[in-house]
Amino acid sequence: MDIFLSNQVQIFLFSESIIYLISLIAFIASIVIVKEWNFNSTSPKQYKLEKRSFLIMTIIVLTLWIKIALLAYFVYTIDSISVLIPGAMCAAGVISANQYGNPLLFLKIALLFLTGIWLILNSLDQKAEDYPYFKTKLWFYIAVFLLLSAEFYLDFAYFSHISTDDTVQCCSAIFGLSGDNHIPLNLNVLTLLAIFYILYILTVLLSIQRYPFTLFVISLLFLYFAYQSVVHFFGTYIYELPSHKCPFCMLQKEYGFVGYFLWGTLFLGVFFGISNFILKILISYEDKRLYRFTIIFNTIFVILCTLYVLIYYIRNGVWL
Amino acid sequence: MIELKNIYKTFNQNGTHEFTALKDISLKIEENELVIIKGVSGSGKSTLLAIIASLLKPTSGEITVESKKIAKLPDLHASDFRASVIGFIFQSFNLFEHLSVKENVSVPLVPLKLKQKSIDEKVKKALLLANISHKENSTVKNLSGGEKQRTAIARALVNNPKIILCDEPTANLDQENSKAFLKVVTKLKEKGFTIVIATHDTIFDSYDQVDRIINMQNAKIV
Amino acid sequence: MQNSFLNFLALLVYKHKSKHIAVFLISTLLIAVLASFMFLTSSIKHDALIALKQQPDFTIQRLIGGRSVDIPIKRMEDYGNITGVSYVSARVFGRYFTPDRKRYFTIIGVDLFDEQLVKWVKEILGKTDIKRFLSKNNMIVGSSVKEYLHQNYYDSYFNFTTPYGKNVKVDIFGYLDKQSDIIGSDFILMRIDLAREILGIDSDFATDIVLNIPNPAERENIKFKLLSLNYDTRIITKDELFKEYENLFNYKGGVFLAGFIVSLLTFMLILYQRYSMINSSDKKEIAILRAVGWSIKDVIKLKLTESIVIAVMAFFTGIITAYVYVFYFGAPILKNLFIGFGNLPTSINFTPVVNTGELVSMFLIFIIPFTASILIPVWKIAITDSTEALR
Repeated sequence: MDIFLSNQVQIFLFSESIIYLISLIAFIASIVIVKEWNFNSTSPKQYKLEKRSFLIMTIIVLTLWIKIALLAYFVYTIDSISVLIPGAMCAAGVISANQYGNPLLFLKIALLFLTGIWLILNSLDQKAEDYPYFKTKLWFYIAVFLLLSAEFYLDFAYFSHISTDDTVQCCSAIFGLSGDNHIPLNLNVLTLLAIFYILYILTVLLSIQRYPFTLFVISLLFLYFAYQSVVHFFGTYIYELPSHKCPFCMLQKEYGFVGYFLWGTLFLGVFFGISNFILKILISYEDKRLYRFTIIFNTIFVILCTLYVLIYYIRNGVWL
Repeated sequence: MIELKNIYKTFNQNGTHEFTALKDISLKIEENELVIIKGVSGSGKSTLLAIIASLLKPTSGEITVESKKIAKLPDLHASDFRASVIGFIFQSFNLFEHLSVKENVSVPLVPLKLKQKSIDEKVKKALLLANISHKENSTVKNLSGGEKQRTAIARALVNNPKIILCDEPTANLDQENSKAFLKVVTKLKEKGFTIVIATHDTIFDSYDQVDRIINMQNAKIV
Repeated sequence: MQNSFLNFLALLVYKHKSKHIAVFLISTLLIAVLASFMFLTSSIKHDALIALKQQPDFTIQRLIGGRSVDIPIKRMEDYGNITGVSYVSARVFGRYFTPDRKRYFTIIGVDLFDEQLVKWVKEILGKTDIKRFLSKNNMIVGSSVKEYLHQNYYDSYFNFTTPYGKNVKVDIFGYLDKQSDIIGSDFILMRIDLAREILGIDSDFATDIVLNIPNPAERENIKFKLLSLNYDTRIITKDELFKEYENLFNYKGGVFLAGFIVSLLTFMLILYQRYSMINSSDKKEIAILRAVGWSIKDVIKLKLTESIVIAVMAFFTGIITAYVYVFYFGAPILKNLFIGFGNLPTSINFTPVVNTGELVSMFLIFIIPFTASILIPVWKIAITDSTEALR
């Protein structure tokens, strides 16, 4: 319970509450509109609904941007309370302090992806002259709101269950050889890297050739293996220490905040990779620009990772 | 080209002050026509103009402007349409009093995401056309009625619309300025604009450029 | 976002200044209060933690009947023999009450053989020979002590009275540096046997014994060993002290923040109210914009930006005000909440400590509620029906 006295936690939870409040307003408005929406009607009620849809749109757009900032702030908050929790030296330890931490983080990222999809849906809907995807996008938002509620609950559940007395493991314990997060499937590093690069090339090829479903699957695989590769291999070159395996430490000042850039480009690349398929099943739409962005962001990500390794080699003449 | 078919407009439907401003209006205005809509206050002239400009949505009926069905256009498209096809001149000018002439004229262009140079060019052209270039940096509240009118005209012209709509344009002008206004209208007709003027000013009775007069009474065309 | 949008925006903001000025001032005030509090806390925490770092890893006290009593020095040998202990030392210190018994100083004995303490004293004294300090009855005092002595006409020495009634004259040798003064303004440093005399501590005893244990992994073990050697001891670890300090600051900060959030909520309501008041000239403005082709989205964008610009300006003004208030003027009035004026009043200059995380936190806690409050009013304005206002 002492955790709630930390400034950052208070600020974080307060901000999340406000965002939840306005999302709730958008949710209620969506329910009303989705029931009565009839685009072809010229009744004053319909026009009122159209006007109200602007409120929903504005709220959701703002929510996305603020939530991106809040995700970063969430990581910062966790990092800053690590001093209060015995054994934790960075965010990795704090996240695993109870069973809510990892699902919460995962949910937050998933929500960002979903909100991004909503934004694409919305801009497509607005471009047409008859709001063709209006009901779809509202139902989509209603589904997203349910997840938002789950996230809101998890926020409080997570922080209220952090004990300042029990010891947690730090990242080297979690991700290192002694922890429970070995490289999956007991692969060795080289095989992992091979899979990583092969998956990357696949995402590029599939984007050029436009196979939305396969790209969707491969993108998700790429996300998983990229995460493992960064933690077990590329990260060590960022930290310049073969035993330092942590996805969070690279977000700190000492490493030039490169973590934000790294994870940011990866998330964007995967987001665009899966978006085409989702849009296809929701509204039968495909957009070549989304494919292009997939290629661009995945490439930037891969180059960034590889660069760290190469620069280390060039500077030091040896691998780690 | 403007075409209205069976347009009805009722305000406060099912409410206490239900009021039908337009009843079964059908008309057609060809390109480059100069049409006067005559009628007393309350006959529905202003509402009609607002419907043509897509500022109001009709309660029922069809309206096509420049081959576009605008009756049910969503706001984003309606405002796009209004910005590129329509130029509106109001009776009370409706300018931003504290801004300069140049700033007022550039207002319609602000959300279009144009380059600054492009904006300056269009503004310059419009000011020239309306004959108010010499006052471009003056604050509007210091201008005379006629000058304000010309600023309003420039603003209506800045994005090169096809149709100019005027709602009682001479109501706040003296004789001299009204005559000047007529001269501007003549110039605009020459340049190919379609012009619709809602007015009950008799100065238009003897105006030779008028192609047609539409009379309105009690929300209907007579 | 071209020139003309920003230009138009600037003109609008200026034009509506009477509407914005109240919001701007209240926002600035709120931010300034919050920021002052945060700056103060950070500064004190920063200095306190630096002083804390110099503390030993373990502090061992002897408890009898729950009361702290003098601890026999011979225990140092046993402690020193434990593997993992790199340094042992005995400390002598205690409270000395003024004759009227209303206030006290903290007397700290300096032993020439105590490396850490000697290092600290050397830092304070600078080039001055520490041996000279320790050779006679000399003392180094903190700023509160200095003030008290000065008020009582003792400018170069003071007459202490031991618990046995004997008078001891001690000369003032020097004063504490600014950083140490934050936590040590009521300190008096003197030679260890002089301290013993004034405090009435026997020469075979000390107030507590301190240990340093460089390897954090061994600390838990050693704590256990120490307890099994002497059951009458209490062991305070530096880690615990850090946590306690952290908690103390968090506690004060947390209580304040909770109160602040309440004011913030009130502020949000006020904002909502204020911006919901749409007068006819506002309506006309929006009507004109819509008539010339602005979409509802454009109007929302304009109005949102207009308000947020005010918020951002207020934020920076508030931060700068707070900075000047805390670090130039020394935060009069507010600082009393922190430096317990229970003991001795002080006048302190705070070390400017500003970190980005804090600024970001303050920005978030302000801008998010602000934006949320103006959302609905801005939307309401943007959708107002234009034709009525244009006649």
